[in-house]
Amino acid sequence: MNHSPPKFFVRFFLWFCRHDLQETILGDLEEQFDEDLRYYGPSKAKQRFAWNVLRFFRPEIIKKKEKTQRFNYYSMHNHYLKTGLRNILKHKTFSFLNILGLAVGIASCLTILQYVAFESSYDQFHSRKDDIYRVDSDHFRDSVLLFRSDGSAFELGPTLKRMVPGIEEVARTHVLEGGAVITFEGASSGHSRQFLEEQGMMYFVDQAFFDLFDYKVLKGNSERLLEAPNSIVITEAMWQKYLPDVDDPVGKTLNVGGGRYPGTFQITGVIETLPENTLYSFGFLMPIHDLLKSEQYVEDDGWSWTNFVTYAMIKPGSSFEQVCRQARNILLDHIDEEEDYESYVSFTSLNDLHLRDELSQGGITAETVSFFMIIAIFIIAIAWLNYINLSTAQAIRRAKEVGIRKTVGAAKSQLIFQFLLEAMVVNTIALLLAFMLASGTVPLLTEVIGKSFHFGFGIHTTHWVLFFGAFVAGTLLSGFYPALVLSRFKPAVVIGGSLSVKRKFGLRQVLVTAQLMISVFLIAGTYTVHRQLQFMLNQDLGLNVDQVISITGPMVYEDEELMRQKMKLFQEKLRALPTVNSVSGSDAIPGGDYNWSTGMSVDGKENAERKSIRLMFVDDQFQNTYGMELIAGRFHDPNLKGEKHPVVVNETLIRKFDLGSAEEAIGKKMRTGSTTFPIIGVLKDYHWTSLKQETTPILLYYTENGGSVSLRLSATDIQETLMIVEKEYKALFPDNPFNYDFMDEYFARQYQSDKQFRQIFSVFSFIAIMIACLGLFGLASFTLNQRVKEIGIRKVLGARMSSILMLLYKDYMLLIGLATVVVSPVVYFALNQWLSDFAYRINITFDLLLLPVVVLTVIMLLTISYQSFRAAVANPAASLRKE
Amino acid sequence: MGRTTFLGEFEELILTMVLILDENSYGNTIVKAIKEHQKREVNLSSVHVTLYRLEKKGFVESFMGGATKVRGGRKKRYFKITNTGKVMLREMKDSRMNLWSLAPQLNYSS
Repeated sequence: MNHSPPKFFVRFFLWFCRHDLQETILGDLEEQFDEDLRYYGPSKAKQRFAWNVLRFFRPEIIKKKEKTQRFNYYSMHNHYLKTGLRNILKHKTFSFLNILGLAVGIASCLTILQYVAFESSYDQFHSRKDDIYRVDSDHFRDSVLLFRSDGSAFELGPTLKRMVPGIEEVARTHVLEGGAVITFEGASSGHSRQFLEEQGMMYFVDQAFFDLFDYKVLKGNSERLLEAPNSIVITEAMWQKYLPDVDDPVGKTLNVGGGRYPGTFQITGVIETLPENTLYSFGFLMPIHDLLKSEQYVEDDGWSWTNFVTYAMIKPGSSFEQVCRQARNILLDHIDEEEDYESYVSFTSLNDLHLRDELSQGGITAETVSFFMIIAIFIIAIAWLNYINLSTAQAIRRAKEVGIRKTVGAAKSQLIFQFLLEAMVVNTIALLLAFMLASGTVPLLTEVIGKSFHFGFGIHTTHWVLFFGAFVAGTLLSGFYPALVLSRFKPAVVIGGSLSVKRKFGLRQVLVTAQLMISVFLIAGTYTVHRQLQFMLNQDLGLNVDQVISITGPMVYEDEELMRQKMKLFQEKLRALPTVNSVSGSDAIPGGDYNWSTGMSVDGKENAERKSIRLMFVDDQFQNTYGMELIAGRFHDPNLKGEKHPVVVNETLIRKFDLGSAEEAIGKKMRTGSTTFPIIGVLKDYHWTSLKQETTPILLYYTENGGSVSLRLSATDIQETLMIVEKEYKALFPDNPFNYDFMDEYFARQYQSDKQFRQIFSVFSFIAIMIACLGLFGLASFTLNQRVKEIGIRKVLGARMSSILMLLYKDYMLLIGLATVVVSPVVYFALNQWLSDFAYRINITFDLLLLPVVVLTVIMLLTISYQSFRAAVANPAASLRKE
Repeated sequence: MGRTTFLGEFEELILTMVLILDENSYGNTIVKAIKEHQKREVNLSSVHVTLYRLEKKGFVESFMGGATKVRGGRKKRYFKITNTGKVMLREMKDSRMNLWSLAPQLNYSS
């Protein structure tokens, strides 16, 4: 019974409550508390006490300030606010530029921060994220790291768990290569659904997968989702896609056709649709023990096929370093005799997988993200510089006000406070505007990058901290200097009215130069990104992908031999169409993956070094369908009998293996193991994949049973031809969905992330430059005001308009020149860095720096011309009359 | 009538409570009484603020009363309705009855 009301709130109450009321109200409050104590117990009673105290915090109860003090602070603040607002309204153009610049700057910054936050949030929803690592292997030869790979054999996971005490659980995953066709047979034909699911939609995983990663299980027993053979777990999205009419999918069966492990699977669970910010964006999960029963893995001792990705979760509190040490040498006991390198286990944290994974190809990296951060900082910096510029320029107009205030008795600190308060008002208005702008731009950005994240402040406290930090910093940064300048005016001078501003190279010029430097950087950057992308898109690929479509071959079939015959028949039928120029079957298509990578050496050379080459399976029509140029020998021709295993290679292969000229290479043989491959033809180098990558040695091997069919169409009636092709396909392979791509689009898809980068980059550069223009505009109008008399006198003395305009432009040209010279090395270094990621890149030429100068000059002329022109044509009598 | 001061609904309620509670009306008892008779939860602060307002208008007067241990030894501020307050309440009641008599007669027979 010895509970007393919370001390803090009692003190708070005594602080704000009027003296004459304190005793009785507090008495009532305590009586209430006492009663609540009996009714609700101590914690609830304390809560209610706090609430009651807070409710007393109202004007009738709150202490009034002493009369004189109240007058000073309250009405002075009021007065400052009022003059501030009046001043904003009085100079509408200035205030508009000021606020708009700030608002756009802050909004851009917010948008970028939102995006950065999204990219950094990948897989952060797993509660054990900090304990989860992907198990990688580092391959060394002679203590030199050759490469790192994320592939591991299926015995590695269980072995790690057994041998390393610090590891709590492991989960293996294996992507179903090549995807599959999934069918749900509904009760009636109307309910049946069939779709082709691409690679990456289906994974074989351990049950422990659900222990490591937090997926919300909507239906089914989360403890034993993947225990039974042939069970399958689907996501909510797949439920909607395949069984929208079914209330509970658990127990229903899905038919997985084609692919490498066809069969019928029973749904054992549904998990919540995966969020956008996760690496594994699967739709189906199947038990890994099913996979391991297949022939390929039954024959394996568990250490040869390294096409699993293993994740390990370490015990909380155990040392990561120790786990690394204990796990490192495990692979040494299971090394393949034939390989000439040693492998060691290493780990990559789950937190690094999205942005900092050295193994991932393309996509967003930490570099890109920090690049956007830099742009964000640039933009906000430009916006603040603008504010400082415009406010100090405006300061002259307030000089008299300051003078009078000082005469009446205002202290310097009071004046500083006044102008800081004004800065706060402007910043607040800008901030509100920025919020509205940002909530409009974020959806646009999500459209560009194709990922949906929401403009959601309030969810993360860090956002709020950042946000208020930016607000306070912005107010101080942008307000302090103008406040200082303004409060320094000497009343005797300013009231006399002869205040003039020295035209030396002052801070304002420095600020404008800084803005121009950022602008030069951004324009040069935008231009370079654009040129590089254009270069990649227009580069001669060495093969012609226009008017070519590629059709995915059937994946669901009963009898392989029958399917092959049907494929041949299908190709024959297509060849007979008048609008089809050529037809080719192949296992790989440009812009996609290679079929095989393997090490080969030149046959007959002693101690020949093995080098990695890529292998593709194609038929005899592949060359003319894709318009490749043959520079020596001949292409595959099944009618010509010759040596076994003939291959056609590319120029890079000849060069890498030192086979001499193309003609000399014909007849030489490549070797892997005991098989030799005589070279019968050499193709001119072509780009099989994006120009980001070097061309690699490529070897084309003959097959007549390619899985994809490529058609070169004549330019007319493409839609109609496609319909005929689809009809033929459906007639021959009724169990398979018809799936095709235009090859030029398919190929260009590799540049998607670069295109997005260009788009975002251009937009934000444009915004930054626009804000800088606002600054120029403001500065121009300020200096012109200062020089009205000078111009008038010059005109009276006979200066022509052109020379006056030159006089005005000269200063700005100087600034642009200076900015360009100073920033050039930075631009060169940064762009070179960016371009070094591309195997085929443009060179940085002089025009990259010339362009920003030209663009800025034009923009500047446009911005200040109106005012300059007006000043130059003005009648000098008008300007000189005043005095 | 020419009345210059009016009472809001909440003010009337509080004033009535002060009348009912007679000798024992202060913040807590009023809150409790409203809860008991009207099944309505009101906050202590609203009651206090309203009491002060009524006092300003001259409908109640207050005096400090005895302290009890349960209140941490603090005094109570008791409120008592003034004659003006009583007249005011009566007037309000009468004028309401007048209005009711003008309404069409409701038939309550079942």
